[in-house]
Amino acid sequence: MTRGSRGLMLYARSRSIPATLLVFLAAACLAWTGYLTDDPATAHRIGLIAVVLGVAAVPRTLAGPDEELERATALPWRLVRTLHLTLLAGLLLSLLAADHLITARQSHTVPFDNLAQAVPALTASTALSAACFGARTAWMPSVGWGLLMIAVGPRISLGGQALTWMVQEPPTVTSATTAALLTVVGVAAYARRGSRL
Amino acid sequence: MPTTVSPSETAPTRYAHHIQAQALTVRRGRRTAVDGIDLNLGTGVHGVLGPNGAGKTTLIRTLATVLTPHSGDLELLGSALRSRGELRALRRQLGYLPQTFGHYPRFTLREFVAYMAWLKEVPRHRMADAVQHAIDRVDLTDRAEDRMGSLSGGMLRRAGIAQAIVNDPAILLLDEPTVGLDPAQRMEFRTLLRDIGEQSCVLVSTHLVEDVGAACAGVVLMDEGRTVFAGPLDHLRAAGSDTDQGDSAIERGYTALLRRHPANQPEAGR
Amino acid sequence: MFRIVRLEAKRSIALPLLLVLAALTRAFLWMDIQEWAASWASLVQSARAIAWVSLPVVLAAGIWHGGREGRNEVSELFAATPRPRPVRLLPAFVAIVGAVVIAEAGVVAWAATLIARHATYSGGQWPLGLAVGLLAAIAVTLLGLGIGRAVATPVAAPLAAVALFLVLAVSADERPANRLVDVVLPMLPKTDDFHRVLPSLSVSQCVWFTALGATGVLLTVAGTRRARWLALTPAVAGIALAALLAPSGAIVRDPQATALVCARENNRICVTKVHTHALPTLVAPAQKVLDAFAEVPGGPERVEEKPESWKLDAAAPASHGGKRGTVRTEFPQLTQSGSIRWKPDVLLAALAQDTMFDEACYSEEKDFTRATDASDAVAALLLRTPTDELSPGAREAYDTLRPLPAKERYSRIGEGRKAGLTCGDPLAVIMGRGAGR
Repeated sequence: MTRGSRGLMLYARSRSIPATLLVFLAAACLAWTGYLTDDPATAHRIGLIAVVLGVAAVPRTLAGPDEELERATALPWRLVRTLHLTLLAGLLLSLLAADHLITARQSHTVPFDNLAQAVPALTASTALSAACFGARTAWMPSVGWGLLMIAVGPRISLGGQALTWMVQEPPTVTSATTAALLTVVGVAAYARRGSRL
Repeated sequence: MPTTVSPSETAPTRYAHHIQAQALTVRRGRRTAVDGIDLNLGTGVHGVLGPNGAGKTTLIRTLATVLTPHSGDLELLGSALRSRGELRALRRQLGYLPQTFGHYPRFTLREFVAYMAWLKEVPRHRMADAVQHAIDRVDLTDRAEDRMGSLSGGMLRRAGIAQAIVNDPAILLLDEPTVGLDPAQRMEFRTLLRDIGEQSCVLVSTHLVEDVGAACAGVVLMDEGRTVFAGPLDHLRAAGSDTDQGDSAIERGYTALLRRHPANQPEAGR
Repeated sequence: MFRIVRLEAKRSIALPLLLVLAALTRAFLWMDIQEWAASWASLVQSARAIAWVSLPVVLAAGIWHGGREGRNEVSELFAATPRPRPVRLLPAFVAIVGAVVIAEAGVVAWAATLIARHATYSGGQWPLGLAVGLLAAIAVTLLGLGIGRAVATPVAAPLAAVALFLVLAVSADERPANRLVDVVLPMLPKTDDFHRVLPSLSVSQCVWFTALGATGVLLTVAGTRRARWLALTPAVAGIALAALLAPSGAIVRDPQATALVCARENNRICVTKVHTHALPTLVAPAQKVLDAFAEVPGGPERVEEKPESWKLDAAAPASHGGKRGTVRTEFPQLTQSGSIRWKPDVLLAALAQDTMFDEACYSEEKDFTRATDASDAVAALLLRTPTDELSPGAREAYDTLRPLPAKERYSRIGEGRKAGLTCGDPLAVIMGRGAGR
């Protein structure tokens, strides 16, 4: 095993990546079962809950057990953190997109636009929470916001569209902007500062 | 303010030594971490020295009643810890600072020490005074209302010492207590130890030999779970010669005794 | 002990939980305030329905707190202390469960004050229904505290919250109707103002939630693996016992709620007891309708509220022919004080429709439009409602009726009414083309 790949394995273990991948798989299974129901509203709801489920496992990985120790090392941490986020979000999105493709013949799948918007933005929001509040409690704002959006449903007013960006189907200009902003700010904040100690 | 003295405090002690162990053996998984140790420790400050993996922490944890010994006799403050009630009564008089001092970062220092006082069943009417006294003794009075999470490493260690002494323990067990303290703080800490050692039995496990030299009256030297040496500090100093490695008499004695107790030749302790 | 409870209330998750839970409960309960504004039965329904939002929150908070000792690595330190573990854990439990109770009960009590002013029927054991909701929240909190101690991973709290939310959200949408589901779910089966929940369902749910809470407590104090598995037995026993106790049809009609309350002046205009506050708004338009139809042969002599609501009862043509002397109407929308939400002219038009035909008869859009046209024309004629907004079909009917001599006109209207109430074609009758079934 080369030094690089061994380092990667140790990094993955220190950040509980294997457990996170299991949760991603569970989210994908959940999304797939969602498409089995007849009611489109229920299917969409289950699909979005699957997104929140997958993202709920991400905050745990945003900080190692000893952050101070890690930051003193020579690794280009900004790059590492950006890659970390991108790879995790990309993995989750691919799994859910695979579900989407498999069940594409059904008419009531969660639109791919929504998935492509929800996964990166929600992941970035956990990164932002980690940068602001620490990785341990980072799941609270993002999971809470995600579930709240699903519970409240899409709102029509401008502020409401921004606040319920994830459940706007099809995505409006406001909701897409909010998601994009969240993604950019979240990734930038986390890459720059890392998880707050 | 007049302090009330309970009858238990004026009762004569019924035991000769605070800590009495005979052939104490403690297993951790398949390893025998403490292997047939005899101890007789009374009032005063005692140091526990030894290489890494010698079983010092396991010994301290066993004396703190966190671990149960596999075999052997252990009597703390004269009680053999047979029943739950005895265990509880003993723990009220115990002070323990583990190597990793876990704490609640959101609690303020005063709140955490008060919480530990409650956990140690300090009588309610004495609790506020005991907490203030403990915080004063470790010189953290000005940080008493700050959150534990905002304390630096050294201050956190001192906070750990404060919680250990809040119930005025008869047995005080400290595992690496001076980690992170600056030299001035270490000197104050030694004074504190000597102070406490006048009434209680203090056992300090440490790597810092100067601390042992300055504060301890007796030393227990452990290696591979066995006692290599247990006795007054002067005897340890005398055990070393100029040919042994070390910058001080204690270090030379330490090296000499460990050399005579090699790994592959199990010898009886003492 | 009390000092430590205060300390935990300040420093644990109790205070944030109280604020978040109170805000969520207030927001979601007030979202459909129109549903429950004047009736206890509807409040119970709504207050229990928001469990799908509040229970995941309390579960996550419980698990998060339960993991506190593990996360902060204090077990070593606390193991050397004399206080027994259950006593040690008690103050925080009190603080957190207290926060849940204050938040939930506080907001529901607030809602109850709004209802107490206007409710006219307080039967149906509504306190029991609300109490079960509170018990469910407490039980899930205790369960969370137990799970948090038993399962050491930091990802347990968010995953459990999402899982619970998933289960509750899906069962809110598609809920199979059997006893087990009725017992296990904290949300009630669909009910309305005219029905009540059988107390035996509430009792069996009490048993289930108490058992769930007991499991949580046992999980908290469990030291060994075996003890943790054993801790699950109350939950299993509870669910079995509760399923046995539960009635098979938990929602029954409440005859006391549907008893009729009539206007004092004349006994001919009546509403259900639970909607008594609708009566003042109803009297004037209803009297107008009765007077206008007085000369119609076989015309109505009473106006009554239908003790069936669109929410629950599948609409069925009530009576093919019977009770034609009564206009049966319903009020889907009430104000917060219980009176009818519609403006007077809208109410008048609705009453006229109910006089002329039975809505349940016409499921096809086309037939319904025909019936509406007939009723609009008759309303314009008899009640002198404005004619400028009549649809072409209605205008045609109106123009057909107006020039007729009075006796003929009334007779046609009577026949049209008969057709409308027996699922015929009132428009055809009014146009003079025969009843047609």
